[in-house]
Amino acid sequence: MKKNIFWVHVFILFQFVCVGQKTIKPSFTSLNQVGIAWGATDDALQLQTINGVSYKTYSAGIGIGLDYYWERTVPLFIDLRKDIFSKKQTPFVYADLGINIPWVKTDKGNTWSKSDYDNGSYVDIGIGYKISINKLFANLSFGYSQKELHEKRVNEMMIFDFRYGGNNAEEDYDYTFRRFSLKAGLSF
Amino acid sequence: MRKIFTSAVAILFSCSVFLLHGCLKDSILHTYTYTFYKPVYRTAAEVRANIKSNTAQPVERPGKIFVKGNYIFLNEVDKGIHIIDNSNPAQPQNVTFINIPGNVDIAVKGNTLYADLYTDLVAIDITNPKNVVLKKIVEGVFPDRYYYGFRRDSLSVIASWEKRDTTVSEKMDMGGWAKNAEVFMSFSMDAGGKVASASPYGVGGSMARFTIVNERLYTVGNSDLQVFNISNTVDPVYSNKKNMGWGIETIYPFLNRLFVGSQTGMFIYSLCNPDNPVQDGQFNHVRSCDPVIADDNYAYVTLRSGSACAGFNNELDILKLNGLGNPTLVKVYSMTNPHGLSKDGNTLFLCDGTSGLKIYDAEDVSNLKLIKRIETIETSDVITLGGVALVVAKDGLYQYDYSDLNNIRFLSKITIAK
Repeated sequence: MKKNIFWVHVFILFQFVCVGQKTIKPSFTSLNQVGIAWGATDDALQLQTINGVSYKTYSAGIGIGLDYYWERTVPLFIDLRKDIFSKKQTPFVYADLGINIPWVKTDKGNTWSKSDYDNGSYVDIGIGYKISINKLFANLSFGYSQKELHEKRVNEMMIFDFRYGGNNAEEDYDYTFRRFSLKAGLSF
Repeated sequence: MRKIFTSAVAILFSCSVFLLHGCLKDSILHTYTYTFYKPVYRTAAEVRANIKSNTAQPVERPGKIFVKGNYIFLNEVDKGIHIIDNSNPAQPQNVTFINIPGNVDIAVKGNTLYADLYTDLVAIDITNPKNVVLKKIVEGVFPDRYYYGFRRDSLSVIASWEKRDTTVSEKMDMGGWAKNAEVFMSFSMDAGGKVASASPYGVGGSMARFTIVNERLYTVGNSDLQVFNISNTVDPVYSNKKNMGWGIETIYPFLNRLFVGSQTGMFIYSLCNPDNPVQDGQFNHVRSCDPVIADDNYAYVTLRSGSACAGFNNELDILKLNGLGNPTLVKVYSMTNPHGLSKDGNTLFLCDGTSGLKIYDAEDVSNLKLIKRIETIETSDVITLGGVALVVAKDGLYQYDYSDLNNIRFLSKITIAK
C-alpha cells in the first residue's frame, strides 16, 4: 500500500511541473494514472502513462504501463478517448488496444520446469469522469480490462541420467485475464 | 433531490460492480502433447533368434555402459546393446548392435556378456564382437521388469515401442489455480550409468545394477539382491536371492564386498560366502539417488535432487569405512547435481550434471582439490580406464585423455542421434 501511495505522489508532482493547455487546437496531452485491476484470481497495481494529441473533445495517444496482475507485464497500447462535454467537468469514454509484453518478476524456474513467456493482447475499455483543477484535470475511470499472456513451459525431469522427454515435456498455457480496472490520474 | 439521485446512482453502480465481479473469470487454454508408446509384439522365438550381431545403429537413448578390452558395450535403453570398437579412443567405431528388447543392464566376464531381457537374464558369447552368439536364457528372474498390463501372453515379447504423439487443448477456468504451482509429471524409469574395475570382468559404472565378483554375477532389483553362479560363464545358474528393502538402485564391487546404493542409504555386504552376501555395514542418508564407489579406506556417495528418487540434497559424501564396521561420515561437499563418479588412484572424477565433469585430487579426502572442470558438457557418468576417461553426457559419449592431469585432452565424441 505504501508503495502505491508513493507512486500516486510521484504522478501528482509530475503533473504540477507540466504546463497545461486547453484543447482548442490540436495539442499535446499527457495522462498519467495509477489504479487497481481486480478479477477472479488476483488484484494488483497498475501504472500507466499515455501521451498523444487532443483535439476538441477527442484525444489519441500511445500508452505504456506496468500491470502486476498474476504476472508483471508491460501493456503497450493505443489509447482513444472522447469527452462527452466540452466543459471543465465532463464524463468521458475510452478504449485501449495493444499488446501485453511479459516482464515476469521472478524466475519461476525450478527443478522440474522452466518457462518462457510471450506477448498477448491487451484491451481496456471504460468510462470516467474528469474535473479541471487549475491547469490540470483529475481523471477517475472505471472499465473492463483484459490481458493475455502466453507461457511455454518445458518440463525438465531428470530421470537418472538424461532429461526425459516424456509426457507433457512441453506445455503451452494461453492465459486470459478478465478484470475490472479502476484508475485515477492527472492529465493536461 | 439531485443529491439523492446521485447517491442512488453511486450505490447502484457499486453494487453492480460487486455483482459483476463474480461474472469475471480468468481462463487458461492448456495445450500439451501426450506421448503414447504402443507395444510391438514378437514371439519369444523371433526375439531370441535376433539376439545376434546386427547392423550398427545410431545411439539414441544410451543407458548403462561397460568396457571390456578395446570394446565399449553401450546399452540402448529397452532396445539392446551397441558394440563400439574403441581400439583408438580418438576414433571409436560403432560396429554392431545386439537386439535385446527390454535391456537396461549389462555386465561382462571373460567373453560372456550378461544382460537383462525384460524379466529374463541372457548370456551371450562375445568372443567375436562382430558375431556374438546367444548361449543361455534364465527366465523370469527379474520380475521388477515386467510391464504390467502390457504382456499379451507368455509366448510374446515386447520387441519395441511405437511412439505416438497426440496434442490436446483444453480450456480451463483458473478458479483455484495456484500461482507458481509445481507441475505433476508422469515419467518413465530410464537407467544409465557405469564404473571401473579390472579385467577379466570389464569395467562398469557407479550406476550399474549388475556386477561381477569372481565367479558370481550380482544383480539388484528395486528391493532385492540376486546371485548367479557363473563358474561356467556361458551357463549362469540362479543361486540365491536376498530381500534388501525398498529403493535399491546401484551396486558396486570393491575387494570382497558389495556396496549397494539405495534411495535411503548405502549398504555394505561381505562376500565371505559369495552365494550368501551378509550385510556388515550401513550408512543412512536422506532420500535421494546415490551412486557409490569405494577404495581401500573410503566410500564416495553422491546424492542428487530432481530425479525420480526425490530428495533435495546435491552433495558428495565421503565416508570412512572403518574396517568391517559401519562407515562414518568424513566430509560433505556441496555439488550442483552429482551423478556418477569414478576414481583412479588419487584422482576422483565426478559428473556434476549441468556443471560438467569435475576432476579432483583426492589424496586428502578432507580437502579435495579441483584439478579441472570441463564445463561444456552435461554429464551423468564416467568410467576411468587408466588414462582415458569415458564420460556419458547428455549429447553423447565423450573420451578424454587424462594421462597428464595438467593437460587433460578431449579425444572423441560419439554423438547421440536426435
